[in-house]
Amino acid sequence: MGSYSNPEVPHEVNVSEKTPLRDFLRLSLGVCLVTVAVVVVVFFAARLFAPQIPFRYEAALNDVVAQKPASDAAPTCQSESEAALQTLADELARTMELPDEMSIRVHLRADSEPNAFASLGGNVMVNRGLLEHIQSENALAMVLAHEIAHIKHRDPIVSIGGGVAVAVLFSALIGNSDGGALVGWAIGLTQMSFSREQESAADEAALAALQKRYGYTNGADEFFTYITQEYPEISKIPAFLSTHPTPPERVKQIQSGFALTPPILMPLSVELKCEFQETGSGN
Amino acid sequence: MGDLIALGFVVILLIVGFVFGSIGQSRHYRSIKTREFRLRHILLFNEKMPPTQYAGQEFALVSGSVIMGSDYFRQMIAGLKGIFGGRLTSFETMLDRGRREAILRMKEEAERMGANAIFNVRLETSTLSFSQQGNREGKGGLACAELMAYGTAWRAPAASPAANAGNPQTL
Amino acid sequence: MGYDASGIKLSNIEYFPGYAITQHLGLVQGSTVRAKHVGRDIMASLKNIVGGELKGYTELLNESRQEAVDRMVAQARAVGANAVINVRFSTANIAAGAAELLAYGTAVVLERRG
Repeated sequence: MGSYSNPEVPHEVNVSEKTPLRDFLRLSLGVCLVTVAVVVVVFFAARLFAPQIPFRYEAALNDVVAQKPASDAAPTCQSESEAALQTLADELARTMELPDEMSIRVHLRADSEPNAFASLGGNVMVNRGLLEHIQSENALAMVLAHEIAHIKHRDPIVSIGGGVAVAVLFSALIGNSDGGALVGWAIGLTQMSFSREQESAADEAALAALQKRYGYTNGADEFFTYITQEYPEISKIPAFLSTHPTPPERVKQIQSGFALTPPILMPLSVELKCEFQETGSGN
Repeated sequence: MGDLIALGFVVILLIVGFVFGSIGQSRHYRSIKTREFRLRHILLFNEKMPPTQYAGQEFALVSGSVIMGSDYFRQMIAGLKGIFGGRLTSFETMLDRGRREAILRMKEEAERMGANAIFNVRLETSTLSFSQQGNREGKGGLACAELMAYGTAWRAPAASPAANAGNPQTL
Repeated sequence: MGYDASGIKLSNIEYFPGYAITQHLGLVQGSTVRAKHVGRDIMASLKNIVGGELKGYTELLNESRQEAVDRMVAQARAVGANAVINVRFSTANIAAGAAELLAYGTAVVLERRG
């Protein structure tokens, strides 16, 4: 019979934990890098493919996420003004040869800030502040044509596409049942952030439309000239930080195409000029 | 804001888990090593047949068990490893501690009956879905396992005290 | 000293030098299903932040295993055995928060020789 004994065994062979903290940092870094890479890829892939999304889906998406327009204390001439705006926009859209499935819907908002923007589904928002601060139809047409050009170029869907795709990805990963809220949040965050290239392209298309409709582009700079004077701080944002070309740049760009003999500009129609009551700021 | 608070909570749990988990782990290993040294005179075999020296000696079933849990920090590491694959070193440590603890408890039982060897030692590991609703869905919950050791302890043959005194590592 | 088997010898081996098995009386088993209680669960959750032994659960399982052994021993005594040999333990999760502890072995009459 052999002998029985228990010599010491090296217990360490079963344990290889040496640097838990470094492991943790390395793994966290890995997760972060993978997440960032996935987000970047999804974001840019979505932007790349967004223009392929049929326009009717874009309109449907807008119906889902659009905020209700503030309808409080609308002035009495609201509908007349809106109709006149719509007529002008339709004419511009025809001039700009929008594809058949696209349609433009103009909304007049009771907001005193002079601004207008394009939204999903062919919706163009015009603040009443814009109408109050410009004199000619040409200037209004420039702004409208600019927004219509965004819609024609599918800029709104491209702009939110990346954010929405990332939001959808995350809500699928996290298993968040409130995916709609996340998507809405992503849209809110990324809306209206068009790139400088998109803005320049829209300006160019708008000028072409004005040239075609009026035979000249003079007066197109009015709104941007006004902005330059009233909001000089916007012009001071360095160009590389700003999404829009700075107003002075745009004025210069627009004026470079003017006819040498200044034509007589079209005045704003009576409906558009409707005097608004002060309805409080648009919040 | 709520998300930020939740994140802060997680960070605190991670820090607490790391600090106290590491302290607890090294303290446990120190205790394991001292007790292993003290109990090294009780020999372990998983052979089924005790040698004939034990003929007619007292025997008894002895066992030791412990349920080990991982700390929050090391569970998080394991979760991250689950994405990239690789060795779950933090769980290796937890199970190693648990198994050596279970063996020691079994040996302590054997010591109380005056045994100097345990034969047919069996080691078992079972996961327990004891805690937290998450486990039912297979996610979350506690990372815990029961480590058990059992075997048949034999009282030292009175016939050969000299051999034992001279070399505690041999029967 | 090991499990309290009150006079019945327990072992997980089947060959005993110096003993003779005079009667083999068949398989005996004892089992119990235990659930944790909420208090222990909360304590264990807290303990799980810092890791280490979950003492509440260890105690619970040890109590349960002793109960399974008691039941096995009761069967053995009923068949007239004085030992249960080749004892095996097994643990199974029945549901979240409930575990079955099983002990089984062969009931025998063991006699010391010489």
